Amino acid sequence: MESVKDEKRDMPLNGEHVLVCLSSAPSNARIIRTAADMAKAYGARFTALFVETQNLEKASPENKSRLQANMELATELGAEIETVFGDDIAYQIARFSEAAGITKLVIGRSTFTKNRLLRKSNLVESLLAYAPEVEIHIIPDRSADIRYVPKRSHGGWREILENFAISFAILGGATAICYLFQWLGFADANMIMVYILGVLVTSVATLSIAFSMISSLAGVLLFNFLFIAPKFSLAANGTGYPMTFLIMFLTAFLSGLLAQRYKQQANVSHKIARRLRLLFDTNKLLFAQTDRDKIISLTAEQLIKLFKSDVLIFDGDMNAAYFPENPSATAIYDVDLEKKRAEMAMSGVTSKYEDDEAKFFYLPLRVNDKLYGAVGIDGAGLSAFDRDTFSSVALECALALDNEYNRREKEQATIVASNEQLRANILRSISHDLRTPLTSISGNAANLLENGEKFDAETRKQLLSDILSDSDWLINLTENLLASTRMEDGKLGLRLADELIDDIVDTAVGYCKKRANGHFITLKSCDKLMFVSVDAKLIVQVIVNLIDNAVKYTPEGSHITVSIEDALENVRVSVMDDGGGISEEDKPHIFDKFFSGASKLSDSRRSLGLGLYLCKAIIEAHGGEIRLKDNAPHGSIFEFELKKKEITINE
Amino acid sequence: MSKPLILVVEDDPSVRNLIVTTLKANEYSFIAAGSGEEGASQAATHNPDIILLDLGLPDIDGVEVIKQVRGWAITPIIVISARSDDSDKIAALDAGADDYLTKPFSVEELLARLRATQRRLAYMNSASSSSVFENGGLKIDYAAGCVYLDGEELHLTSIEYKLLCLLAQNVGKVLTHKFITGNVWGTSWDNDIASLRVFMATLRKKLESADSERQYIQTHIGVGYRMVRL
Repeated sequence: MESVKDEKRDMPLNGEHVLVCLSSAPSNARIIRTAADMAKAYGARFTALFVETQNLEKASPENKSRLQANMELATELGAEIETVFGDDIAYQIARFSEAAGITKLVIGRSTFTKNRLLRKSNLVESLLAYAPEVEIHIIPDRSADIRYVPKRSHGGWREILENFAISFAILGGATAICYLFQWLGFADANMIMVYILGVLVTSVATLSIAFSMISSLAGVLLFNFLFIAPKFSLAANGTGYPMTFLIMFLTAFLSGLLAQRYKQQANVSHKIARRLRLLFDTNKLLFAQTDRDKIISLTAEQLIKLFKSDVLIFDGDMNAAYFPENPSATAIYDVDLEKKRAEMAMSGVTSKYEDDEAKFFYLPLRVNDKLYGAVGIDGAGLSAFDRDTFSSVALECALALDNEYNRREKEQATIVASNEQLRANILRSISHDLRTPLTSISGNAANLLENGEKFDAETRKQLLSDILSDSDWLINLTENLLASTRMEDGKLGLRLADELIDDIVDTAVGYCKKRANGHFITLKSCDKLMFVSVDAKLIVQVIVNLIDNAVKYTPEGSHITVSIEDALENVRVSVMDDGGGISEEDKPHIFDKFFSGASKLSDSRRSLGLGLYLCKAIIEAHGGEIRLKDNAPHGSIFEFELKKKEITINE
Repeated sequence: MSKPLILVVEDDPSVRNLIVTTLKANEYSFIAAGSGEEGASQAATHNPDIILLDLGLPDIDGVEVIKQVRGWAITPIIVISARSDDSDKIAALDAGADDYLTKPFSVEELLARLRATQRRLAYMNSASSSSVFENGGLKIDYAAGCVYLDGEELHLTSIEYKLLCLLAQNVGKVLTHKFITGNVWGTSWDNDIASLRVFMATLRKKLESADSERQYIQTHIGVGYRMVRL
């Protein structure tokens, strides 16, 4: 299928354009193939035209499915399918040929022998008259079913009987009025007008032109029989009457014919107008949507409105979304089968429809080379008009999805760009802050290396302990930076595992105890064993940061208490100190990035202002909450809560 | 006891220098290698008592070196890793490493690990055939199936007893979650690891209730547990 399409696309078009007419006739397939061969031989464009007439609605299901198969065959052979509407087939073909620049027209004999009631001139003659410049190729039928007559479906007989009844009633009514006129003594001409009016009404109320004709004839005969002397005979006393009857008949018939034409035209334009309005609505609604799921459900809604059919939509990852026409109905379809069928449609194959068991008929949601899935509706009994409408909706949907995709991609790019910007800012400020401790480390080390012997033991020790404390600061910073990079991916970066909160707090406190000289750190555990689903390393980092912070901002000898509490659905961990507390003006900014109360630090200890910001980011990524409170009588409490995880234990 | 011979396998010269200087200062004898291949061949020729092995080597992965060495020797291996990811520590432990150090580590930390490993070596040499395990105040009588803490009998559930024995038999060594659950439950589902955490927590509480400063079992978050040789 793809290869055919590609071939068509690559072909140097030489102005030749082959048109084949589609019909529901069994022989139509052969004609389509012949036309396709011809198009290939000439290197011509290939179009298949279907002229949809009023009769299509009355066609039997068998004929409809054959028409569908013929259309699919044409698509497969590389034809572009077009549909026009109108009852005068020849005129429609000619108009289309002119508009599309058709040079060669292929029709079958069956099309051309289709000699319907009252269609006097045959198709070829009409075509020659309408479009003399088009070459017409007629493919003779060798098969036995030359006299193929489109079968009407059974519903037609009832309609015909109904129409007869309507015609009789109207005629009867007209006759009754004429009797009234006669009694009142009105002239004959008035009665003629009444009969003509009756024929007009009949034409509008019935389906076929045949009824108009029969009514016209019957009207003339009745008028003659009942009202013209000698009464109750078809003879007329008067030389002018035969002419009167002829004109009466022609007037009635022609006005009936015009009324019927007008009605058909109105029907077609009503249908087209309704479709246009729905497509316009669809377009408007889809255009306003920015959400993928909404676009899909809206498309389904419109399709349900248009076709009264269940709708099945596959997205690009082949996930099915089912929209039943009746919301309470349960889905009855074979997903695998439908998926296969939808995939076929997405790869460009729309034929082989009747031999598989799939329930839906699919069209790909495609914009240029980008596939966004496939949309399927109940395929039985789709007219060419319906298919056209369906493909328009599918295209609208695909365009909306394409828009949405492009917008999302653009947003993504914006986010990436702003992340890059943020990262650059962080790197710049960190590099700046790294300079100070690095200057101290390398300067002190160089001093010791060059002049080591000249310093006394006391000075040497001071220089060495400066190196140690600066590198410890760098080590701590590295841990926080590592945690920050993990946090950049948000929730995705978390490696969640079910951990005992005791183990986590224990590890953090153990780590800090080793490094905290001069501060008293105690752990108050909870008797209950509580699990949390967390990234253990990051939570350890949070507690370490909170303890470090307490150590940094409280004088030596202060007490730091870390406690674990059971808080209903949550686990609460708090880090309390009995230091000076945090000033009111600093409180709102305490969790901000790069905020540090450096001005109030007693000695030269530095702070990058990353620690608390990171704590907040980590706890929030875990769906928890971190707070700052005042300790009594003085000091601060940093506490966070995480959701408990229930665990079943294997003995 | 004579100071053990230590093989240092580390490609970064300044870190190697740091380790070697520390060893020299503490009167350990040592040999150093700058690559995995060299390390493996040094291990074969010199038969060191302890191996300090960096995982990120230029030629072959540290885990490969462990597997090679484990082919013929049970020499304790302490892995040094700069990767912050737990999975490579677990891979190294499962391949047969005994302990790990994460860069940046302090000199005291390095020395503490070496001393712990030495104690473990000494214990392995002396008590390998004993039916009684003793560690600090803890005593396990394998034959009677009884556990004593500071002379008093401890009442443990059967799973706690199994866990304690497993840790005792591998005293000083970090055991991964997978290893423990595999040995105690025979499987290692996530659910088993959660159960393991609960049993370990209760076991630790029983062992440490008397004296909170003395820690028999260390938790290595995300990795596993270790019984400390006191």
